[in-house]
Amino acid sequence: MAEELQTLMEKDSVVVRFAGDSGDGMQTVGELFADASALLGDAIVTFPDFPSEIRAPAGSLPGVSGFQVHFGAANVMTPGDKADALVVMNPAALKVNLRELEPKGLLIINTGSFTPANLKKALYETNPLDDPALDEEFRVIKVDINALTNEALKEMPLKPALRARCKNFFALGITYWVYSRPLDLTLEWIETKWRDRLPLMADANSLALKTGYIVGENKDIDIPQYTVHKRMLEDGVYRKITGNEATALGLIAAAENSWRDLVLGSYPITPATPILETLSKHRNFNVKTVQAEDEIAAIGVAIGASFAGALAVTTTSGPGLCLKSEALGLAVITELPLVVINVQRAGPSTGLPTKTEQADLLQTLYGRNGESPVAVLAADSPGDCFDCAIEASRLALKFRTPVVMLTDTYLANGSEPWKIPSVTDIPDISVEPIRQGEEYVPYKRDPKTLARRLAVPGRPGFEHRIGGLEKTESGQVSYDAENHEKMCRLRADKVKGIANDIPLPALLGAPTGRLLVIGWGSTYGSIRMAVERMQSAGEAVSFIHLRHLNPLPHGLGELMKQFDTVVVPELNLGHLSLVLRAEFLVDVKSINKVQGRMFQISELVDAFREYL
Amino acid sequence: MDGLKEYLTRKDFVSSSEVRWCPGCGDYAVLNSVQTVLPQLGIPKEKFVFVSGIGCSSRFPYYMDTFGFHSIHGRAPTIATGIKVANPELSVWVITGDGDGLSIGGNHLVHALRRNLDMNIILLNNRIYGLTKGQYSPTSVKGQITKTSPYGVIDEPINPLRIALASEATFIARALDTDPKHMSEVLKAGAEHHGTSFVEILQSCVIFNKKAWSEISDRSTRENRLLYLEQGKPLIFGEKRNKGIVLRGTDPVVVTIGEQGITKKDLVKHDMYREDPVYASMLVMMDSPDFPLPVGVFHAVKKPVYEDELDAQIKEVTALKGRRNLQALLRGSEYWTVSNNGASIKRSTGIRTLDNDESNIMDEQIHALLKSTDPLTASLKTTVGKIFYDYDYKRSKMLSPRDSIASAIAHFKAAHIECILVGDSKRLYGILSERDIIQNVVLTSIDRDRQPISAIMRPVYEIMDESNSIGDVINILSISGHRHVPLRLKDGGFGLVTIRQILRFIHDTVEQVEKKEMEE
Repeated sequence: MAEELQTLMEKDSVVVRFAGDSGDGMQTVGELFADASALLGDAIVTFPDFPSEIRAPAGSLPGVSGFQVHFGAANVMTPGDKADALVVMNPAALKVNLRELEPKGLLIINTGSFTPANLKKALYETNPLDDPALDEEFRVIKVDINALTNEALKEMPLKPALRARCKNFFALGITYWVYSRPLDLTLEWIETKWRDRLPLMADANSLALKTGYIVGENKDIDIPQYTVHKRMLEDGVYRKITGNEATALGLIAAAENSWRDLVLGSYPITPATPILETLSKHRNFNVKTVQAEDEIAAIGVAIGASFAGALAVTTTSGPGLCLKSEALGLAVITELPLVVINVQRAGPSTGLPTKTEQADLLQTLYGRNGESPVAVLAADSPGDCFDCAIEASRLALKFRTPVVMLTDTYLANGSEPWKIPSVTDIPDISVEPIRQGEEYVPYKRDPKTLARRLAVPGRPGFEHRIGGLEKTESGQVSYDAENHEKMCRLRADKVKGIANDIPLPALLGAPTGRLLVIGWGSTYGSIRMAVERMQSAGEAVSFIHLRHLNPLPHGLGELMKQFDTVVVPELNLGHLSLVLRAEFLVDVKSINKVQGRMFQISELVDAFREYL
Repeated sequence: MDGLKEYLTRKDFVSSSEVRWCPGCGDYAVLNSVQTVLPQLGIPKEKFVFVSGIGCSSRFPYYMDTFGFHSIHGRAPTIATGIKVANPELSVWVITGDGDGLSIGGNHLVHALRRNLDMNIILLNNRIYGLTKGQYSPTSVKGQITKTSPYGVIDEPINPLRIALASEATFIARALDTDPKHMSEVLKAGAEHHGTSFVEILQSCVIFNKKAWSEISDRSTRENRLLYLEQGKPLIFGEKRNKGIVLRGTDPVVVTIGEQGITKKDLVKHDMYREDPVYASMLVMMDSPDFPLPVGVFHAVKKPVYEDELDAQIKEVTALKGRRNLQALLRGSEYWTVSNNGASIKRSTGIRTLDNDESNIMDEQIHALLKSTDPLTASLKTTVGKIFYDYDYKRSKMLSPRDSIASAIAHFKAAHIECILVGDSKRLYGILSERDIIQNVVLTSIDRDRQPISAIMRPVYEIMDESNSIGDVINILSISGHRHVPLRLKDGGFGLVTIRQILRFIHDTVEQVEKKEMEE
């Protein structure tokens, strides 16, 4: 046992994966494990991996639900490559998840579920537990969690079916022992959830959790124990947050700090729906959410609200953005502030609706009729969605333009500890309203930002008409050829000019050399960890991660020319690399993956080394 | 009526844009009617917003000297919804056509009607796509020859008023472009209806569908083919005013007064206020050749209005959850503090009461409280704006945070107040009370001439506005420990709500409740 202790102590972090049937409560225990770790001061990153069916047939392969937690030192930025420990509740979970486990990794198996019927559902012809190769490749711990849970709860006046529902807490108890996590937070959670409604379940789940922990201590079954514990977070007040939660909070903060009411038009779509759900709870912040009849109506509501002076937002995912594109063009030509949030998922069409991908970038940049530029930016971690939402709102209001903020399934559902900002540090993003008596010319522009002046309905003396037809500066409909070109160029220049308002992101590494890695969006954690690993091995690689994708920041082209090779890893077949090649005439190399999954650190390191 | 000129006239609503509809188009009559009706509504000009989609009729907003939004095909109801939700004080009008409203935008029309925002939808029905030069529309009749139906339309046409009725519309009416006086009356009734009004206007397209409504627009047959609906009056029509509608069982039947013993008293009396849609449904189905075509107001019922309900939710949730404590929201209910370079970790509990949004239990409690009829609890929903001026109110001068403490003390003396606000034109930074002066100035050796107010003021916990409830104020007073809460007044100035005002209000309420109980 001392041996494992040492090997693990050399690691900064550990990846644990829970897998079972979608009715087994794996998401719950995964979240609780992450909470318990967060309160030890560990950095954590979580990633739920669930099927798109709500309840696929029990025990079947499509019904497997997983939850991965990566915890430990502060440089934990991804849910981890392969798991150091895997807990499987049934044969299907073993089959689906075994390839996610490190060689020699800890494999805790609920043997009670390995019945002939379940093996058949998982399409096993022979029982994999009988295969000696399993014990050779992994550190296998066989526990009949079903029987032990039932035994522990036998005194309780509970139906067997309800007793069986406690087995996830039993399994959680074992992992708490393995990784020395405290039980108190989870016990408290159980109390809050069940004490008032189903007090028996509160008792049963608590007992299952404690018994699981004791079984770990029980030397009859040889389960190793590790003490991975590294406090690395900087001082501050923290909470655990998902990308969708952070996006919702960022929008509320942006509304508060722009002195506007927030109006959200949205239509439910995976994985963006939780933003609508979260915002609909906050009526006390004057948040007005309208669940529209479709994606087009959702953006229509937002555009109307923007015209009437609100901070207007619509949230969606890729298929929804397709439907919104005509209306997005309307917001471009009317030059109204509008925040569009696209939580990307794997496409095309319905694709893999619960899996992650970054393949909407080109659609976002160019997917509209006519000359139709919008500002585009992307968040790079769950907590960063908060800042990104405020920045998107700031640009929309200041430049009177639609801004699309890109996140994705990985950011939306994944969580991390988030250092809670002080509200006094959140920038004021309000814009000067028009003054009574001011002469109003609807499309007259601020010479510096090229933004037009806005006058909201209800202000006497400012009556004017806007619309999708081309206008002159004074707001008259015009079919004049020269005027159209002038207006197209002005709108394009306005969006280009945003580059004057944004910084070049910090460079990680030397400003010149062999290899520059350029990333964007949710791949930040993976790329950064890969680059840091290589830099600490003395390899000459530098890294810059872009927040703004249109316009690109000043100085990026010059920076790219300082390196022998520029490489862009992205979860698509080469979107940003295409843009950078076109923009800067540099032979950018592309590293691509479209498996609905994040990059693994090791695969990035290998790919980068090809260019050194 | 702030901002309303002594009176508005039709001319106030005529924009400088040159009208570009075909000569003789019915759209002119509609434009004229709308411009005639608006000045009669008592609404300031700047509150009107006209929204349209795409089509001939959708050019309408350009010709109105009001705020206007000419949007994209079929989507006007969605944009109008956003405008009205963002600012319920506006008078919002959607102008659409049979293609825009019933084909590409059919979905939005249905949902706008069922939401019942207080707005007006006018659908100009000429049974043809005019702007794209003559293709059939969803209301084109079977067999109609158009550019895309050279052998006749084979699609079954739809009836806009039936769609409206099925969509739970609360106001349904029909008018003719050839009878502007009647159209104006109908439009005015629609505008005065609280909820979405839906008015179909029958018109021909002088270029592509001249005979769209020939049977009713032709003067020789008109009187026999039209039935003008008048509230409380029998359903009578015909050149000689001798035809009418009676009910045989549940079926409407056309009869002649004086024949077979029929008198006026036997005829169905028009009642647009009937809650159930059965009667309106019967009217909506009446059409030639068996029946005259009804025009006028079919159906006008009261139902909850979307933006009123939204506003009520905002007020109720605010009264019970407390308002706009952004810091508490960001913190959530589960947070922890890392200190001493990560060596110490403290978990925080016991803050579930303020902004714990995950908790269903909390939400249940809120709902239980919302239903509470206890008069004192109910009175806490009263807005601050309502009581502020009744109880010895204080407007506050704003001092700059850079002003000296001495100047603040001077202001306290001069104005006989116990608290002042600190800020500039854009932001409120803090408040300063007599208590702060005693604690930080009187009892210390601070240099009151040199030190700025910012050195001793306390940060603003919360700014209220007049729409906040008394419950909000009590909530903030209790969690902040302050005795004053800054209030942003409607006129842009600032005031202070004091704990004393709140106590007096509660005292008065209790007194009233007791009085009422004694009376009962």
